[in-house]
Amino acid sequence: MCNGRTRFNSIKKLRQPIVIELGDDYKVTVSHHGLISISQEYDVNALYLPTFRLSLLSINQLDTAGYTSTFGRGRCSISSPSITITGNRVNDLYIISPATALTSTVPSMSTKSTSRRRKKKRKSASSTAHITIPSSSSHTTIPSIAHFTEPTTSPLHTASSSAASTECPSATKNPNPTRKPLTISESRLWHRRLAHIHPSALRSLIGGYTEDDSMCTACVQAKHKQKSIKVKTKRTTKPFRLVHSDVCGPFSTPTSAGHRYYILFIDNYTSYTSVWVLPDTKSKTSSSAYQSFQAGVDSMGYEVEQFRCDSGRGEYDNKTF
Amino acid sequence: MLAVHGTTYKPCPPYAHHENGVAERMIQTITEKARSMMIYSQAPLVSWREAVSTAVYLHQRTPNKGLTKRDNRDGYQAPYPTPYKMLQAFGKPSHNNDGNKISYKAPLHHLRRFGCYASQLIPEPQCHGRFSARSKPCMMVGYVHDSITL
Repeated sequence: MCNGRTRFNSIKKLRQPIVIELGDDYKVTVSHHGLISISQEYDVNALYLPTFRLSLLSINQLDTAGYTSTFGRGRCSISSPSITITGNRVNDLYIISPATALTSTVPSMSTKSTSRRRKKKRKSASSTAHITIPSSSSHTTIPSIAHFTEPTTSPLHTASSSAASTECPSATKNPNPTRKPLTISESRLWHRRLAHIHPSALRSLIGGYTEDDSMCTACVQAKHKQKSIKVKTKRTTKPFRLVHSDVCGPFSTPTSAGHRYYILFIDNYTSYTSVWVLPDTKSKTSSSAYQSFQAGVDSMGYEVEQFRCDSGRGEYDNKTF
Repeated sequence: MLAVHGTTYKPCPPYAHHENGVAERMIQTITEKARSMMIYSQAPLVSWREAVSTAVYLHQRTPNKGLTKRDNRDGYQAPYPTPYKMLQAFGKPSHNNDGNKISYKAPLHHLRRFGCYASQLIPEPQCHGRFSARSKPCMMVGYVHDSITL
């Protein structure tokens, strides 16, 4: 059970919330769980309890993972073949700190990759986290539990600085932004952190921002827009040489005769418009509307030379037309 | 059907509505006109057919700035022509034999506000008795050529 959100590598919502009954009959509902890395080899599954003052470590789970825990003489030690975590008893709790665990694994550390080492360093800097165990197990209904605390009252680090250091490493690295130029990868990271912000906005926010010439693929895929079309077609010089047509509808309210669409015929030259209402967009109805339109054009002594429409499946794109 | 009348068929490819931009824009114009008239007159929604027809009818009689460039005839630039006038005047002489100008303007004297009050005369054989109403209240919903439909 852990109270620090930042400690989790990944966090998920539980399918069903778990209710934990504490020793003093107080009940806590847990809705999230996730993975916390205790050491580099082992990630422990933990429940997220933001209301808890302390984080608890289950000896049961450590046992399952192959750790040996020994308690005695006011000290505790949790060990696996590669790592040893030690802790001291304070009042009724055993408090462990990963910092001590790191010192015991220094020889193996030196062979690790740099990125991993940085992660570890960060961890050691941010948290002298404590594993604690209540010496009287009646305090809680869950047996074999050690406490894993966020060092809110630790004399070495304040809570805010530790939280910041785990969340955004370059922020602590660069507390005064104008001081040092960021590397390109750090600049990219800031671009991603701020929801793929535009570089010019990023420049005004973060001093020392380094221009990144490469293209962010996610940005291209997410923000792609069609260029606006500004081509203007030439106007014709004779009535009904070119006729545009489109169907509008369906409307939610049909007329009393049950029409739900209307079809427009627009002459390109005079923008003389004719309208017919349609009950549907079937080929028969649209072509009969066109026929009556054409009859009107014929009676005026013109004829339709070109007919422009969209590729509406029913109304235009059919054999009748 | 188009081939019978010698008309070239020019459909747009799918998702390329801009190629039919003239029609799409006209739909917007007509629908806006119809919507405004219906809202102002508080006409029931089922009367959209009449509102759309009226909007088209009024569009023919509305000056259109875009038509100015297409009007080739000299001295006919301002005021802006209406589609009705352009169609009526196309290919016809602007002056008659006496040298007077011929007006191709659409008559506007009969226009009324869409949805305004109108009373329809009940034909005498249909009246029930001497003291029954001689007309019934109606709503003006559009025009048929140059007359008014109720």
